[in-house]
Amino acid sequence: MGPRKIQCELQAQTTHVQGHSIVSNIYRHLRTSMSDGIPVVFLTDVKFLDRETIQGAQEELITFLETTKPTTLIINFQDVAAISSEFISTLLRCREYVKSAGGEFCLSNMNPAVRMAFKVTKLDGTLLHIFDTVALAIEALKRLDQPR
Amino acid sequence: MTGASRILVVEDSPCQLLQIQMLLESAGYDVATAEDGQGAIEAIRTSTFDLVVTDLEMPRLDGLGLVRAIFAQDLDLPVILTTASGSELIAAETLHAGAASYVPKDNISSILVPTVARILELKQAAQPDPRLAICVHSVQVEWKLDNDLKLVPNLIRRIESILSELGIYDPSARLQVAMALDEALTNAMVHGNLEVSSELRRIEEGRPYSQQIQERQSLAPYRDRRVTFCFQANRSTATFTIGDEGPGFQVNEVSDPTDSANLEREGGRGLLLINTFMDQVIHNECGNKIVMIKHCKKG
Repeated sequence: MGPRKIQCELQAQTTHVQGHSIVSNIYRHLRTSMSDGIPVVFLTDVKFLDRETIQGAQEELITFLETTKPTTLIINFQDVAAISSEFISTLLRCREYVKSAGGEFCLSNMNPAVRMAFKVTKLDGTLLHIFDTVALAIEALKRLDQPR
Repeated sequence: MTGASRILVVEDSPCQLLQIQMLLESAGYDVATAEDGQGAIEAIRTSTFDLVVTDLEMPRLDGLGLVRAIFAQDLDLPVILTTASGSELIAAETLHAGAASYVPKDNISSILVPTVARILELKQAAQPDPRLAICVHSVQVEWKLDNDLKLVPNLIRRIESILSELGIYDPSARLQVAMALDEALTNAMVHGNLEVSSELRRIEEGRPYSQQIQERQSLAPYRDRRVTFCFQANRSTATFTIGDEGPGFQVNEVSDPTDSANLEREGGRGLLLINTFMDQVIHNECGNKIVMIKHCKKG
């Protein structure tokens, strides 16, 4: 049996709030927006533990990356309570996508248990850059973007 | 006993909203309203409801999106859909996504109130009696599982609910247990019984990994192997023993995932998370059984 292909509905709705354009696409496991010109992916599931959720999220993230080809990306973990090592692999895959296009990839807003999973695997601060808030992640990405 | 139940009605048509509101209020329910799924999510964030009745087709966020959002948040909030004729397929999809039931709009005046009453009764029956919960001294349960990964989230939910009833961990510690159990159960099924290597996840977005899992779930000898999961807990400690029937592995031969040369490799991360989130972890000699112990940290 071939791989299941999720039908991602990319019904983009653009609104403008205080000078920022917010684009929301209808996915099942994520919500996307633009903040200060930087794409932010908000993970909508509480637990990324079971294979079905992780696979679905991975397919949607890759579809998003392939269709938008962002040079910067922030993943917002605000509502995520628990993750598995398989989901860590998914995030590393997303990082590869963004990095291969010369881009920068950040994670933000993690609860202590989720953050600990990245800390003990020594990914926090090495392959993955994790910030306490989206605002701090945006600031860091903007600093990187400034001409030296 | 319907007076205390609070129901959120979500409907973009003011006329139908009024009709549903009147039906439910005259049956004694306390009714709040929202005009679409997005409004409903905001209402759920700020208030407590016992049940949601929602239309399927609405602007901003439709009924299916609302069901998915409620399910994703793990809220104990049943949803009943009201559907126009011709939308049975999408109604079926919504049931699959977690809705409790649906009521065709043509029969709303006769079916809605009994359906609401039935779903609320079921919800109440599923809730543990708090007077019994404080009397629980210890529990021991054993499961023999086949290698169906879809069983894992439900099993973990069941364990979380027992731990919550025992009251030995705070929510954060329960999540740590959930993360460790997920790693150990998945490991026992996929790597232990089905002997599928985690390195396959790195190839072609993990498709060969999923494919081999699927193939071996119906192929001897893999399909005949079972995972034994024994859970013992009292008010101070929980012990989780997970054994598979595969050939096992040498724990000391697993490469260190925190070594800078291995950071991008797949293997070993799960074991590291188990060791982090549990207080004590013991493997048997042959490497197909793990015992994980977590103590109560409450003062």
